[in-house]
Amino acid sequence: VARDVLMPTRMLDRRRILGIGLACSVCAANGYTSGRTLPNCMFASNGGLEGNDDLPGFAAGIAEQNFGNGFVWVIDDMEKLFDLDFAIGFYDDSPDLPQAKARINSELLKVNGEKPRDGVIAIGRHLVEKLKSETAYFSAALSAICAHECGHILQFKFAETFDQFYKYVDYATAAELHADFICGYYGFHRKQRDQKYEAVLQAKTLYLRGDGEWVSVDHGTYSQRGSAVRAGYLAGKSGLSSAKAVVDEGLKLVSSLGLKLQE
Amino acid sequence: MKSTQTAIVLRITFLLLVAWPACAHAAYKISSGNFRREFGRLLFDLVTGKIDTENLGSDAVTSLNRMSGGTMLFPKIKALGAIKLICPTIIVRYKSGREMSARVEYDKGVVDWNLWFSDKPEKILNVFFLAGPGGPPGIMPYLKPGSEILPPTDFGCDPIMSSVASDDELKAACIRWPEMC
Repeated sequence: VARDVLMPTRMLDRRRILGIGLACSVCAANGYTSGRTLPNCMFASNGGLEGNDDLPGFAAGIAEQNFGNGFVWVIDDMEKLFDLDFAIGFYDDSPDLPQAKARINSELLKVNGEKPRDGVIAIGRHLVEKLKSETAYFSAALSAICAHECGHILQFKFAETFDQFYKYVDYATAAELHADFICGYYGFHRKQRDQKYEAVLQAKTLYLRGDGEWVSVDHGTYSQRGSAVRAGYLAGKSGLSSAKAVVDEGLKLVSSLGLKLQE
Repeated sequence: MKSTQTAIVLRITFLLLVAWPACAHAAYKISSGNFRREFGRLLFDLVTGKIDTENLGSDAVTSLNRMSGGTMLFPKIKALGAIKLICPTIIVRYKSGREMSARVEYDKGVVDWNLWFSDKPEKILNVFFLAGPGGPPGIMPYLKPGSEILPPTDFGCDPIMSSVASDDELKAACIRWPEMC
């Protein structure tokens, strides 16, 4: 994910919006309209927006996975918490390296056909299956992945953040652990809204994706990842009140890790 | 093997929850009762011609009449067979009540439903359905300013997908990151 985040995104060759056209025509026929206030994730658009080589099989929208109201609510919650506007959908990741990606400057559109203001989150379909196999509590696992990718979208939004990452030799690791911190912060917020939510499993989800199990990802060690999520959670407890404050607090965490500085 | 058996038991339990209460006619407590059971009961009564209009608003009755050609019978939905899954796509709260979209999977097809209901008095204000071939949900609530998407926050509609962590998994995680538990 780190390299994907930091590399320029290739432009789409073409777009097809047949799925959106279909969905909206059905709505209109029944007196409904998608409206500008619909959550980005509400419609599935299978066969609609097409990915490129970088995100093959990308389809904006989440209904294809039959996750129902829960996922709509969580994505809406993240957008509101961090004041973000992103497109979200699924793509065909490699079965050998299940993953999710965050993108900026992408031509991929939201399901309502609008260009997202802040970026795109693409979740691999193989990753979804992997998460389901790892835990009985899939909700926390997928929330962790989405919140981590939200972290990257926030990094795009506050672009000066990257100057801080580039201070380090392992700048990708710095960016990833920073996103893990934001993931933890979301865990605390979610716990406030839903007391039954087991935020600790967000830490487990990212811990399992520490360097060592996966190849060439530069995300930090198992222990660093779990600790970064925990630090974000505790930062939430301390009462941070804006997305920028969370981003800045995350940078403090990164600077405390002892990562090697560029010469 | 054990998980397969558990899955079968859970599925049967779900089907019983949906079908059994259909024997007892009463108002549909979509808002205050078990949502899937009450909605399942409404769906069951619609196809068996035993709809209870006690807490149906006049618009709901009018809609059902219109959609059934005045017969209050729905043979096309009945032909789809038994309900396999009820999945709320989105639930929205307005000032005056709630609107819910749900996808219902039957043995032989899929139907998207929209329900409007109030909490006090608990009433189904309107109902609409659209039989679809799958793909994107055919009907959705219109999110007006000030409206809010409501939980449930559990992911997945299949009753075999757990909405709680296993004790062992949680215990192990809490040992490692106790401040998060």
